[in-house]
Amino acid sequence: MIFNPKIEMMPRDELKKLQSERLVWQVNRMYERVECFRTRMDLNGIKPSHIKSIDDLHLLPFSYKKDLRDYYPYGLFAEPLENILRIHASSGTTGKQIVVGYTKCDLDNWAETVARSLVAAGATKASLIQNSFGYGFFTGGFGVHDAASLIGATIIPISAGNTQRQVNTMVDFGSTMLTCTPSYAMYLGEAVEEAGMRDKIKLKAGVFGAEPWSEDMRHAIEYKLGIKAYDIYGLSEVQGPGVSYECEYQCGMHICEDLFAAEIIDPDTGEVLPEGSTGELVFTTLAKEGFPVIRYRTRDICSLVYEPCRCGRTHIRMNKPQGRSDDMLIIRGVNVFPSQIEEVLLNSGSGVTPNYQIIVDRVNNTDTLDVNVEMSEDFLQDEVRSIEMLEKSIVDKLRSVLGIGAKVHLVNPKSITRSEGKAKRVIDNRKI
Amino acid sequence: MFIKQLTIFVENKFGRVADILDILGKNGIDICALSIADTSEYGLMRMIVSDPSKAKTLLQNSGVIVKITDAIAVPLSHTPGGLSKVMEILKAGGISVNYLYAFVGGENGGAVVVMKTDKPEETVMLLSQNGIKPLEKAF
Repeated sequence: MIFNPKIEMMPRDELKKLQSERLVWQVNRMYERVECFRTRMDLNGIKPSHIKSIDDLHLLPFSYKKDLRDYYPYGLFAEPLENILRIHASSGTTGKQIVVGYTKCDLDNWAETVARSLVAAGATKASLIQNSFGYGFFTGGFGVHDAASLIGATIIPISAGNTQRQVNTMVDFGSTMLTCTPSYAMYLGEAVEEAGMRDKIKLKAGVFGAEPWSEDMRHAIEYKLGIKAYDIYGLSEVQGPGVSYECEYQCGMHICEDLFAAEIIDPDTGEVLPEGSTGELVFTTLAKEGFPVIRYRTRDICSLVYEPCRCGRTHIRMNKPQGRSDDMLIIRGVNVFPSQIEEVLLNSGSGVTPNYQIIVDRVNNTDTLDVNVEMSEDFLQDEVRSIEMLEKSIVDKLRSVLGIGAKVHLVNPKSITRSEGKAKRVIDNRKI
Repeated sequence: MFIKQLTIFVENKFGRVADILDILGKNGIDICALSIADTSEYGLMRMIVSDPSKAKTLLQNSGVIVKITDAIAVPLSHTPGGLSKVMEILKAGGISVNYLYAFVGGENGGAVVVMKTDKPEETVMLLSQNGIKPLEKAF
């Protein structure tokens, strides 16, 4: 099923025309309203009048996650706050979170894109969508919520967590579609299996995103829940979920090109790479009002597929991101930067950063985060209680900064392996 | 007022205590009292030694995390109820004991308890007022 055939199946030349018109509008508007963008354009000697079509995209300056911190909280908004209907936030590279805002039109477009995704996964007016994405600052919960309403489906806004209740709801309410992170889907699949409820649930499909997952994981989820599992992609800085999504053929995620222009660049030189190359994914929002971005560096490494898809959609597809061009980790769907952890440790001792190592793993399908901290004199006390209090304060601070729990272990000095004098900060043992 | 105590971080690793004691023994450091507090992930060794500064440097040079901390060393009379009397004084004074260990080496072969309380200065004052003078040296 296709939610919006006119747009999703728009001939490429028409789509390009639409993208061009919107890009020109976006660039002019942002040049007028967003100081950071204007300054960068001026520095590069580019005028809005130089941008005549989508082919001129490469002339424009990049934007970065760091910008969101530098202009925190509202400095990059292109609309006055009175026109902003909602704020979402996610983690930045350091303690401060990053903030994005949406106008009425932005929320409508967002709902539209997620609706495309849900409908591609089989959602109709008759669907009962159990939305187990977290509601709150995280874009997952509300993103799916509004889309379900747009389709006219029944939304079950259960949010994430409380597995027993999730299983009961699935059984009692007869949910037909599940939306959450893939690792939570695995977890729920196991809970359903353990409860012996597999024959009692009516799920047909699930739409999962916000963290990387493999084909093996897809098969495991499909088997455990007896469903077809679809991938959805997005990031708060560009919109949230719905930037791209899988159709029934599951051969890459169709990018909503009427709203987002995608490029693949060399992360080192910034040069646009030829069609089909693997490199860093860069997005330009074409119709966003509240928080538009031009050539935003996602740091996700992937490739784009230009061949027409059997489903009839004309929009290009992106392959699953294979990695990152920065050190960001996605743990239980939450973005975590090692620098955030470092900052917490720095503020916990006597101003000196101890040697530390971050160990990420996946145990029983749930991501775990362990932080090993080398013991130092700054941390040493003659009372066990004082050391335990210090450990607990680090755990608490990590939870409040990262938004997820971490375990902290004090280890012997010099026990964290160093390669060429530099400690290896992150060990990711997950096999994704 | 206080006695200098070494506090050493001991990772849960086979032979770790032996290694630490070997360093001290080989370099002529005498230990008169020792206690280990164990947790599930590590241990904390506290000891009273003949030369705390030298011991600290020696251990540091071997990559051991060590700190010199203050503790109260209370000599006890070599009679039944000696420690009980001290505890009664602290209790009456509203002072809590965080940890405590003991060694024999006081006058007349009596015991000495090494302790840390929630109010170290007050503890010393209170004991002195009751005729018990904490030691500043064990050697």
